[in-house]
Amino acid sequence: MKERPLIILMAAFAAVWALLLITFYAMRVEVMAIDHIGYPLIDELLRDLAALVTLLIWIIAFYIIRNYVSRELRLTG
Amino acid sequence: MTISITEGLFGMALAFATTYLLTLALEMVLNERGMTVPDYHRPGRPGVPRPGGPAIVVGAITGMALLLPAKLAVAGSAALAISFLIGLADDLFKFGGVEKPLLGLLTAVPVLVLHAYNPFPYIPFVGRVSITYLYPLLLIVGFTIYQNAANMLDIYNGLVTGSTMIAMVPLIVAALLYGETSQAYMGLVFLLVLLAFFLRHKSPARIFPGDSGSLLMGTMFVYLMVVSRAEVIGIIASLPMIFNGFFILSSIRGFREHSDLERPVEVLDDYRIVARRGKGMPVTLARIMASERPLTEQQIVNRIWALFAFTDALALITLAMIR
Repeated sequence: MKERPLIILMAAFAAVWALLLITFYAMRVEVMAIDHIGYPLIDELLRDLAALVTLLIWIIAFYIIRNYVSRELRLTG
Repeated sequence: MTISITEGLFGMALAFATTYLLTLALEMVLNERGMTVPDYHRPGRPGVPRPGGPAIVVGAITGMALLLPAKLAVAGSAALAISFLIGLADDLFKFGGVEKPLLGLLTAVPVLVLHAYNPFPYIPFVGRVSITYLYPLLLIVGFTIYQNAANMLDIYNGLVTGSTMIAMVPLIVAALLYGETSQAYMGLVFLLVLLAFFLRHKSPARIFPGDSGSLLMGTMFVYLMVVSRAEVIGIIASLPMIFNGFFILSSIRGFREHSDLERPVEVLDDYRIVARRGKGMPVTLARIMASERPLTEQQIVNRIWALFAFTDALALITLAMIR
């Protein structure tokens, strides 16, 4: 297929986008749980932690996608 | 600060004209002084003047000074000036792979000191989330990540300028939809400044932005994203830029100057470009695009722009979900 790299990358970005939305939804659950604790400083720190965990999930997902794309296109980078 | 449409149009036209005319002047001066680098993807490898960053920074600051409230204009101008100077120093003296990202951390200082940001990003499904401790840290790191991501995308005629312009579109749409006039003006100023430069940077390039120009483009994008309070929209729209940087850094395992890296692609005798295969070479968007068959420079650029258009569409869908 002539445009295979472009299609694979578009699929990868669509997957990343879906993952972003899923992690945001998970964050909503976390934030709603945190809001019930009632101590402002702890609430704030836990919200920051939730955002940090979300970022870490993205980084791991980025690695997986990079390896998938490299393998699919036989780049072995 | 209320700005009439006439004033807005005048400010934007002045920013565009300043950048375009300065770019033409820079081309002449740099050519006269022999400050050119070879364009390896064109027959005869002609020398192309570099850097074009000064034209971009002056145009952007002119537009911001005319159209934005003082705090946003001062913080933005200072951030642009810092990244421009880091890039210019790199253009003239060449930093190592680590110094540039480290110095880039300084870009956030004026934005933090003048508090030209709001630590309440809008997250889809969640709403505005207060992350007051993490946000300044993300801001500091974000500037240097985007500066270097833009820098790593500056490999072909017009690519980084066109890509940054495409990625900015959803941010401008977001500012317009939210009725944030200053942010919309800022986005339009940045877009027109980049368009003015793009007219000379597109293939066949008459000028290259250099590191002073590409770092500026990364800074403009982050500042627009932060001030528009559309961080998530900006991240989605710029996924190809982030991925290109991430692919490179993760495949070479760390910061290294790109001139020290093995070339990920090779240029054939007919000037088409094809991916090299093997371990140790960075995985770049260009290498991925040219992995199945040789492509011309413009064919690779068009495919990367198509990717940006695709992520723009995803960003706009997300924006519709938020609203």
